[in-house]
Formats: sequence, structure tokens, C-alpha cells
Amino acid sequence: MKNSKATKAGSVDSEPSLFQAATDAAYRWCVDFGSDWDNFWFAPRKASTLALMRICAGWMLFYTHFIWTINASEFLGPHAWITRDVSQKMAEQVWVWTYFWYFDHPLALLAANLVALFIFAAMTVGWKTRYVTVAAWLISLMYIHRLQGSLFGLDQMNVFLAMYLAFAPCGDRWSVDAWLRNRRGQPAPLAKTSATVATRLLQIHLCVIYLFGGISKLQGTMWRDGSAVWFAISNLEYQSLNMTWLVYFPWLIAALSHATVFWETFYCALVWPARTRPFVLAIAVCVHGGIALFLGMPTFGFIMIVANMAFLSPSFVDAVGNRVAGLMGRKAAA
Amino acid sequence: LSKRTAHTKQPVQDLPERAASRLWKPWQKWVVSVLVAAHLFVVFWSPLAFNSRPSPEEASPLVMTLMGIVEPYADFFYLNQGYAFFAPDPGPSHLIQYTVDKGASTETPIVERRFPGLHRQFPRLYYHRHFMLAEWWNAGFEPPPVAETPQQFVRRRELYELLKESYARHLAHELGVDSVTVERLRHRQPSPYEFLDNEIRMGIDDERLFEVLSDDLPPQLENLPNESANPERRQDSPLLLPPLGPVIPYDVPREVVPTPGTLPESVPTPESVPLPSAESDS
Repeated sequence: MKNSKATKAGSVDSEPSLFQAATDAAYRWCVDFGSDWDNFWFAPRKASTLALMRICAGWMLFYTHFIWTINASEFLGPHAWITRDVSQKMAEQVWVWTYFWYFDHPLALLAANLVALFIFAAMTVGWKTRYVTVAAWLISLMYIHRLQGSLFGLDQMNVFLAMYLAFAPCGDRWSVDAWLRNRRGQPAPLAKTSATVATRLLQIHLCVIYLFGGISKLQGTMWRDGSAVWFAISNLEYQSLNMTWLVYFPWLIAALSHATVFWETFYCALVWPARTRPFVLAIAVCVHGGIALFLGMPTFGFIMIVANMAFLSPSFVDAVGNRVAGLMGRKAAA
Repeated sequence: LSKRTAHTKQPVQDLPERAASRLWKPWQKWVVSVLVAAHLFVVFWSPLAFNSRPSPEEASPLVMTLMGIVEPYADFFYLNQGYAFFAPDPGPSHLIQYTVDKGASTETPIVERRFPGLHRQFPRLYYHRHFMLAEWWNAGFEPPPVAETPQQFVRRRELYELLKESYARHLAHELGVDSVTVERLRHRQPSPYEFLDNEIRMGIDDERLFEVLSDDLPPQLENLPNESANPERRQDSPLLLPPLGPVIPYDVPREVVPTPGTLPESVPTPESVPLPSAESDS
């Protein structure tokens, strides 16, 4: 297909027609697109990054639901802030369902909460990972649909991570499953295509989150006039560390506001090239670390940094993991 | 797809493991490709739908029609998000102020508190849940930044009242009293000028920054839920709701507590914002 029929027939001087050139180019584009798509989605990948994300996300799911559990009467019980009937009424025009609509007895709630905590703990340590990650995802959705009204970005990110980890071989490393496999003398699992699919979905979804985060900010006047960071740090209800001294440096407030908008909007483009990725991820750590430390949302800041781990290569995570394991081993030996 | 894998231009990650790994069959790749594309369409379309209503009168028919198709999937898997963190602007906080009466015999309040409260709610996540309860309730009252039909407005107001009753019942149970009155409280941030000016000196916890919000509707909207009083209004016509407060300029000297009488002419007051009339709908 690369050479025109005319050339094959022997007419060396004849140029391919414009139509033939166009169809050749289109064909080549399709072939390249197919192979790029194949490589992007289906080139097997080790699960080290996903295993690290499983540990962090599992821990955050456990902590989030531990807080629900110890305050179950306040949020899920018969005298909850939002009772079962009001919760159902709120959900009338959306396509959601949760088993929490059918019971609110304290003992039943305790049982449901303990089961959930067990599942999240199993996910964190990686025991029966293939099954508990799916269960963790579905259970977190049940809580989300019942507790509408008291949710925020943390819950969005918890479900986001649980959804993709449910389909990932994230128990292949750093898990009870891996430890049991080693004890039985079974070989370590190889790179898997499902790890790539899950990683790509995490990455693209995260890009969409930041893109629309940036677009939403561009609609606001404060992000455009550079005052947004002041109005964030001067919000008493969010504040966890007093940063109002920044008011004496208006240029710095403006720089932080503008940098946030540019970083969020262009994250989806700049996080892919190897040259810009380290800077984009470093800014992510600074932005979300700042939210965690100064804006009273350590859980949200942490889970956003965990989401950004999707862009760490498995070999990098392995190298860091081995280094840490080596240090711990030396410490234990000493 | 799989036949071309060996001829890709880019090096495949973790190549040594790849040779021995279980490669997917072409039909598996096709199925997964279709599912992945469909899923990512929903992931992208949901926040797009949030951003496709530039004004109350306008909404992209393409985006909204397709969103209607994917809504069940987006709703159940919690993909129906706008991802507008601290956007479009970092606005004021909304709290709840509650008052407990001694009973019918006296009107003297024995408790008047606000929540969320950092000193009463620990750890921070527990505090933040209460903060979101207050914000969620307020969002049920305040006009959303999207187009809204009269039916949507009525439903939102019903849910607002339901939440108000639910919160009051919860507090009454917790405090062991018969009734509790709950009110919305807005806590806005000071502008840098208010914060720095020697005469105003408004700290971020200054009482002048708190404002109890009324449940009363602006006069134009009082008859709105009663459709029979407005027979000519199109059922699907968008509703233009007035802003509840003036826009706070960033760095401009101004009145500490602006009142409608002191507002500049360019800032619309609730009374000056027209509702779409029956004539304009026709």
C-alpha cells in the first residue's frame, strides 16, 4: 500500500495522485494510531505503583469509614442529621441506591460498619486483594449515596481510586497475598496488561479532574484578579495554620493564584512529557501539601497526592521501595 | 491490534517481563477498548455538563441531551461531578446557628450556638463533615449558578425545608429538648483592605463578618411555587434568580457592612433584577 500501483507497474516517473497520497497518509495514520493505542493501553506493566496506591487509598478509606463508624448514630442512625427518609427524598431524581436506606438500628449499623472496616483493612494490607478491592469500591459507593450532604472532595477521590484499583492487579506486590505466595514458593507475578489499563484510566481521569478544576476557576473573578489565595487563606472555617501574613505580599498572593490556575488547566498536557512531568508532580505535592497543612483538609490533600502517584513509573517506585526496604533491613540488623 | 504490538515505535515498558506475560487476545483488546472509550466519555461529559451552562438562559442542547443518556451510569458510580474545588471563587463559609428555647413558657434562649465548631468537633474530618452539612443546606436555598426551571426551584426549596426539619430534629434529640430553631449564617472573609486598614481592622473572626441569612424569598419569587398563579409561565423556561448579596470588591475602600442603600448603582440589588416575564417567554 505504501507504493502506488502505478509505480509497481513500472512507470517510475509517475507521481502518485493527490487522492492516492491522501489515502496512503490516512492509512499510515490509522496504522500508527492503532499501534500507539495498543502500546498505550495494552503494553503490560508491573503493578508496583498500583500496589503503593492501594496501600495509601486503602488506609484513607479505612480512616474515612472509621470516622463514620464512631459517629454512626449522628450520620446513619434513626436521629441522624439527615434521616433515611430525607436521604431517599434527596435521591429521588438521581440514579442511586444504597442498602443504608433499609435499616438504621444501631446494632445493624455496627455490623455493616465493621464489615466495611474489615474490607478496607484487608485492602490496605493486600489480603485476598482481587476480591476485597471490588468490595471496597462498592461499599464506599453505598456510604456515598447515603451520606449525601456531608461529602466533599475527599469522598470523590476515595471512590475514584477505589474504582480503578478494583480492576487492577494491585495485590501483586507489598501485600499479604504476595507474602503468602513467596512462602509457598510460587513465582512472582509478571507485568500485566490489566495494570496498564487501570493506570491509564487513573491518569486520564485525573487529567479530566484538573482540567475542569482549572476551567471552573477561570470563570471566577478572584482567580483572574489574583486575589483567590487571599480569600482561601482568610477563610476561618478552612484555616488550620494562620497564613494571613501573606496579605503584606500581594504580589505573592497573585502569583500563587495565577500559578494554581495555569497548573491545573495545563496539567493534562504537561504531565505526559518526561521533561515536564517531574515539575508538574512537584507542584502537585506543593499545592496539595499546602491544602493539607494550611486549609484544614489533610485527608483531601493526602488523597490528591496519592492520585498523582499514578504518574510514577513502576521502576521508580520499585527503586524507592527497595531502597526503603534496604534501609529498614539495615536498621533491623543493627 | 495485538499483531502490531511488536512494531510499535515506542519502547514497551518492562520489556523483559512482557515476553513471558499473558498478552491479551485481539478480541479482548477490542472489547476493553470500547468499554474504556465509553467510560472515559462519561468521565469527561459529566464535568462538561456542569460547565455548559454559561448563564441561566443558556445551556448546550448537545451536552445536556447526551448527559441525559449517560446520567444513570454517572450518578451511580459517582462520576457526576463538576470538580470545581474552590471555584469559581473561594466564597464565604456558611454555618448553622441554632437556638434552643426553654419551652412554651418563656422565649428566653438558653443555648445559642454555631456549628461547625473546631473546639467541639474533632478530628478535623469529623469537623469537616459538619461544615459540609451546613454548606449543603445553604446550597439548597441559594440560587445555583445553572439554569433552573420553576419545577426544579420548587423541588430544591422542598429539599431545603426537609433538611431544615431534619437538622432541627437531630439537634433537639441530641440536646434532649422539644424544639430547636436553626438559621443559616454566612461568614465572609475580609478583603485585604478591611484586614489592614487601621480604622476598620477586621480580623478573620470579626463578628461584623457574620450575617444571619433570612429564609424569606424576594417579593418577585413568593408566588412562584404556585403554578396556577402563573399559568403563562412555560414549565421548562429557565428561572433567573437574583443574587443574594453584593459582590465584594477586592481592594477597594468601602462600607464595612454594605447595605442596599449604600451599594453602587452597578451592583444589582434583589429588587432590581427582573424575572423573566410571561411575555418574554412567549
